[in-house]
Amino acid sequence: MVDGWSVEPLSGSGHRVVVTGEFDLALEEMFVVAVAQLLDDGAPRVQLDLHGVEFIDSSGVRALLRLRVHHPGRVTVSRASDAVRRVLDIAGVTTGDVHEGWIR
Amino acid sequence: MTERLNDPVRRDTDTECGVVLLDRDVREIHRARDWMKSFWHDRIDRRQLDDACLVISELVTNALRHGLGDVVVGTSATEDDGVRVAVTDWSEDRPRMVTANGLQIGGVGLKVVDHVSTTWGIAPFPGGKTVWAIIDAPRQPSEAAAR
Repeated sequence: MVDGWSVEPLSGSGHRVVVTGEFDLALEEMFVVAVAQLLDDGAPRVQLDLHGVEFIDSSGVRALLRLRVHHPGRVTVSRASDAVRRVLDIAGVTTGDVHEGWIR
Repeated sequence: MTERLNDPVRRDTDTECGVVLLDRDVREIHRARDWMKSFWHDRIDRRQLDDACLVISELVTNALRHGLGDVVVGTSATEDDGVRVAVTDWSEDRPRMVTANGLQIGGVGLKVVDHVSTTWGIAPFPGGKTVWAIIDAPRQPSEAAAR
């Protein structure tokens, strides 16, 4: 699967960003800039759909965290696989986040 | 003994070790993982290989973000079926990690390495350092393979 992402309209309002392939440093900066642009352009919310992510490391996790910190309440993460979820858990970003609805 | 990634994988089947030289390019992180997969394919537990790829990814990322010069990746088998990985760069600066009490900022990558590996360490030498880690074989391979 090609490393990258695609943008779809989300029912209601906002965008779903579907990430595919391997999410590491090679993707981090481009991804953060692109999603931040969607939000700066007025998208009320962005859902990051990770079901196509085959691999993630701390750079991918950092991308998710940067977006959450800079756009509080407007970015959610969904459909992470067990393998991806494990890295998120290790990096410590899921603690408490499930209840806040950041990661579903 | 080093080689470029686009050359055939070099493997010493007697000692089960391999070394590869990376360019300073973020795309090399992906290629380092692919090299690990092709090197250990069908020879170690799947989960162990996934963890070794995760560790290599973090260590190469650190070497590219914070290190200097060429990045050399090595892997070898330990006596008890563990996988040792090592990443060398030409910066003497020690990597940092987030400690349990959060005293240091940054270094989430090493936190991942610390969690996934059995043991890891830093071997400094004049002009550079090697960061290494060992990923043990699962105690019950069949159970791990079924995951």
